[in-house]
Amino acid sequence: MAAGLGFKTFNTGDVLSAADVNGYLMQGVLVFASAAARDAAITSPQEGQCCYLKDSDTVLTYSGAAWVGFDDSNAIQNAIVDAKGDVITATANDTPSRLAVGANNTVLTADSSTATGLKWATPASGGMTLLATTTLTGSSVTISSLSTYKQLLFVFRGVRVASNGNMEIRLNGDNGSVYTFQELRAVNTTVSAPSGAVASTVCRIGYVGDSATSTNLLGGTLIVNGADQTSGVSLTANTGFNDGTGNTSTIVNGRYTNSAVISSITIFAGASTFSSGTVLSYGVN
Amino acid sequence: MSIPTVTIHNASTDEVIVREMNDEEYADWQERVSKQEAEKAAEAEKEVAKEAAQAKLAALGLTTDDLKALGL
Repeated sequence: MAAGLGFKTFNTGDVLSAADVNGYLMQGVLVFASAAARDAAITSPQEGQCCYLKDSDTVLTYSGAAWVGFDDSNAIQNAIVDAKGDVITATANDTPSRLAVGANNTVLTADSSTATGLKWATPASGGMTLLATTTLTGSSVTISSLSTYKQLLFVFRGVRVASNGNMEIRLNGDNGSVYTFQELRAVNTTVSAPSGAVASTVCRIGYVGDSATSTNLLGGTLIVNGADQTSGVSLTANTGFNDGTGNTSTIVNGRYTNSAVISSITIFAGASTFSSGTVLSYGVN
Repeated sequence: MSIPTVTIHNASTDEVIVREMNDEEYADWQERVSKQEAEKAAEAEKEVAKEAAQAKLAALGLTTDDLKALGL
């Protein structure tokens, strides 16, 4: 096949030479219905000849030995992916490869022993997972389906109740005399005498106020340690708010003395109802 | 008086149910309310007693620092 001559604008009356035909007119892309139609029409393809196949919407060029697809280094071919969640990876330099999506809740992890250097794997222990974001409303809020975490962390934000009082919790809906806690409360720098209870039916986690001023709302954390164990569950709560006249901080340490894995928590708005607030529930492994 | 509501949030399905307390929950709530009110009253009484004691001290010309100095 003659080498291409580039582009030329022919004028009326120009006489086409064999060189014009071979160098300009024969250099285009030939369109065929299929590879079979192409092969029937071009029995002696020339190196560098191009064709477009309508049945597969592909452009091919003849290498001198075979028709081959274009390898556009700047394009991702649709055919490289097959299913939802497929990831395009590489097995080597200039060698793209498909990695099928992993099982639910697995994460993409580097692994040099695999062909692509990647694998889907269950997250390693030690991670913290946001389990729920719950609006505090009504007189109590229960967050369920919390099992299988070594530690549960609850983060309270912007909490207010209708009338000042002690926020309390129960685990697993257990209203037995299974909570023991000690509380230390301070208003500004004055610390009250420690208080608490043994074999209580609720565990106190802090004192909360009814001030609607946004800067006065309660914030704090509650940590439930050993939540996946059937014994040795301890609790630590740190909260603070301002009743409009002073900053109240509360520290509570406690224990849940029943033998059960923790699967739910119920948060009580004291003797009142929640007016605002959110609790973020995290599971830690 | 209207029955207070409870909220139940399933962390697995994210389903949230808000409903009125049932009889058992309402009885439990009333018990906890009574207990908290009693605790509040006891704290208030303690505060009144403390203020009265401080007033008596002041009448004697003493302060809490004086009592601390005596090891009391």
